[in-house]
Amino acid sequence: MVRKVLRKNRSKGRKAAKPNKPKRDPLDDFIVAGARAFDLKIDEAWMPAVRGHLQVTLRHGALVAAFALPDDAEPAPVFKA
Amino acid sequence: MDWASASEIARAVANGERSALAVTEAALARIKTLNPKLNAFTDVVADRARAKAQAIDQARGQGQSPGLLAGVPFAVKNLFDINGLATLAGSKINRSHTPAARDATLIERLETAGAVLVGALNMGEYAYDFTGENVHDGASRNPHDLSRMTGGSSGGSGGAVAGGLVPLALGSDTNGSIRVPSSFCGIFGLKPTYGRLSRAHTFPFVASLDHLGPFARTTKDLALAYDAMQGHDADDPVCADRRPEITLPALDRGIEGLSIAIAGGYFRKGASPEAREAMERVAKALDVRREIEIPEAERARSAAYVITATEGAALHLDRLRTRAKDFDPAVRDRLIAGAMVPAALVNQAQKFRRWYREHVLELFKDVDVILAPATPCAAPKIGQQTFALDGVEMALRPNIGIYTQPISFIGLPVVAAPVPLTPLPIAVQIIAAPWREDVALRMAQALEQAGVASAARPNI
Repeated sequence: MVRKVLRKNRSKGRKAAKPNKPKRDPLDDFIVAGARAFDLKIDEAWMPAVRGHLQVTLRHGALVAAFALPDDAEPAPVFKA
Repeated sequence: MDWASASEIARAVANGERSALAVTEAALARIKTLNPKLNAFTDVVADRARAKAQAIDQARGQGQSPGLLAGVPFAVKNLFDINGLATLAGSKINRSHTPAARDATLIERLETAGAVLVGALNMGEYAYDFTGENVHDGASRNPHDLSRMTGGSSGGSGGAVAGGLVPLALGSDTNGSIRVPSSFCGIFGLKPTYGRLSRAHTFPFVASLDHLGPFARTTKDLALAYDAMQGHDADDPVCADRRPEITLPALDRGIEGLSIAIAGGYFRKGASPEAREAMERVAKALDVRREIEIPEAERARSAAYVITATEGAALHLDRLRTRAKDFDPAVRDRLIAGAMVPAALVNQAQKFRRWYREHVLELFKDVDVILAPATPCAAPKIGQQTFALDGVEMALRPNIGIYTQPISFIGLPVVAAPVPLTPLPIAVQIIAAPWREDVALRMAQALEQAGVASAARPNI
């Protein structure tokens, strides 16, 4: 199988000239789906920055999510009727 | 009176040494001369200011008290409503808004005390900014070095006060937007307790984190303005129903009896030599050696980051749908990303906020004041994209607030006190327990009187 792939690549290499398509980040699918759900139109050129910001925010979110809180922990804003 | 403080101006006007109109004309002239360099103002309301000043002079002539801020020129970040102007909030989009039909509550309160509004100030778009740069109006420029940032998002407020255009300005602080410009521009700034000052009739950013407060070149001016602005306001549901707790009479009480500690751990990481030097000078002046750890400060900063991203996105979602290309791209892309963050993380951040508040308040059973750096470095160059913290290169824009975010996250009152290092100033945060602005102001006053904290006059 490995040999097959390599061979395939070698033969592609001989034909050459085709640039490798950049690997799509899995987060891009999430952003595209989210944008569709929110009816947001995201220009392709904005994607790297949006992805970068989302990655950073999710990292911050993961740090917060990793903190164990009891089930009855109340969020900071408490609604009063 | 180019560099006169608000209290000096008010005294001169009250005594009849200067007319409010003469003070106003002088301020308008300084703005005309210096604003092309500093780019602090986006609107100047000269006719309104002259009319107000004349009314003050007339009232004084008739024997009426002109107020504690008589004739003091001031300006506000352009997210405050000013009667007759569209409230820009640093954006292109809001320029098409209907002009405000009244002033923000805090403008009304300062004018009731005799102050004179002279204009609106530049800011980072929709307050999602720590730099003071703005793609629509140009960058606010630091009076100590015009090639450097003022800090943001209240960049024009920092530049206008540090540059001597006005002795007093108002700004907002969601994650550090009063304390960062205070640090980079070398002036005093007060971020009061969350809910202390009314935010009514201003353009919001993150409702659960937004604060408003004053900038000045002396602690006394901060206290004067703060005292004049206190009081419940039914127009802001977050504004606490508390009677004003006037700080000025006790300002000179000194620090005797106050228990002070330096924030260690997280707040020791990433600081530049300048930030460390400022902290050392302050600690030495106060003879403070005690260090305490604010628990989970890094996580608190992360939680503030998540709440900011998501609430900001929710506020602007419709504008992102219809006018995405009219945003500053740096703001737009962050807001779009914020719209994608799962709600579970936001809810957890709000739960963690309560946990963190309870644990930090425990510290205040034992200390009255905690000292921490305001910014990791002095003012960076305008346009600078990255900086190194502890040798690690990282994006500058979102990381300037690493020391301010864990504090505003739970609404603690803070005075940013400037230490006039050469060539650039940098501030220290004086952090007090909720509703104890008086303690933070007293400590800032003590540092000012000791000559450790002061607003250095720039050579523009």
